[in-house]
Amino acid sequence: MKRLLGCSALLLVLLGGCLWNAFHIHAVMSETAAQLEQAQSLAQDENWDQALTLTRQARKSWSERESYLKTVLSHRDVDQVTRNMAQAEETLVCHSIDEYAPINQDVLVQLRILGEMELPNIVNIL
Amino acid sequence: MFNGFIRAVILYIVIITGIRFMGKRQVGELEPSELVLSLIIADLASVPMQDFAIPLLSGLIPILTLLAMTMILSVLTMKNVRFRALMCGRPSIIIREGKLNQCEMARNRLTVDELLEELRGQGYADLNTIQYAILETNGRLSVLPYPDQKPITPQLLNVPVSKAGLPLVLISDGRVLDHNLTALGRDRNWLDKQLAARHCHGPQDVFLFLSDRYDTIYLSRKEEIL
Repeated sequence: MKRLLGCSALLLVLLGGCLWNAFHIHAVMSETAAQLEQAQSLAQDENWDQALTLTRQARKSWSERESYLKTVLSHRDVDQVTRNMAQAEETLVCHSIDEYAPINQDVLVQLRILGEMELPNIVNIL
Repeated sequence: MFNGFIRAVILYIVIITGIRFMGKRQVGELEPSELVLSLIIADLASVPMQDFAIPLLSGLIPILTLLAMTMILSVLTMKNVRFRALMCGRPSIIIREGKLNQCEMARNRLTVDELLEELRGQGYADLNTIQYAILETNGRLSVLPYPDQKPITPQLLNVPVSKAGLPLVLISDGRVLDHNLTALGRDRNWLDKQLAARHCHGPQDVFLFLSDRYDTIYLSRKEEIL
């Protein structure tokens, strides 16, 4: 009976942990995406300093979470977002909206995909 | 490379611990759920071992999940007869009172050739000697011959036999196993006397020393391995 209860508890812990992680990752990606979207909006209004500040904040927040993200997500995906965010920041410094917008959009799409891929839904299961 | 090394160690320890936790049945006779686990677990472990970009948890979580589920099914199978029948099926009587049950053979997709091969492997060439042959849930065939076909035992001949106990290992590769010595109610003095009687200077000269509670002793000296 002990083994049954222990294993059932383990299963519940694993399930709970996976669900918590799924929604946490979604929240992290959404938060980062929101900051970058706002940055893009500011850049389009030629408010470069504020856009740069926001992008740097998003990047800093991402770096602080990178260890956790690499524990639960593919390292390649996390590294790609890190690289693209660095590139976006560089283009902001140069005030080049033509280069910045596509790169930032790419990051936003990656963040959306990463945020959705862990969610418990039929599409992801299948 | 270092990551691969550490991951391999972690995954190996997790799998070994899990399989060990499952018990002897996992190593021997496998229930369907345990067989599936054995097949899948190797693949699950190899993926994060080889691809360092994949998080280790991608391998650990499925492995732990499968181990937990297999243990749950195993316990339920043990505790509940209906569940056991559902998971493992029921034994099928292929030969009953010396007669072949062709329906059971068809139901189990057991051919005559397979049946005869299995019977011969167990030393039964003549089907007339077999009272029951049962196809167990693990796929093995249990054969029960007629009583007059069974091997003769000393009891049938009223022949007295000397008593025998369970042999315990007292010395293994030069090392004395004190807990077994205590279990037999013996001590080191007794052991030293036995070794001296067999011209051994000490436990270091002995590869294997077995004894039971009736003092039946088996001793194998150490050899020089070149």
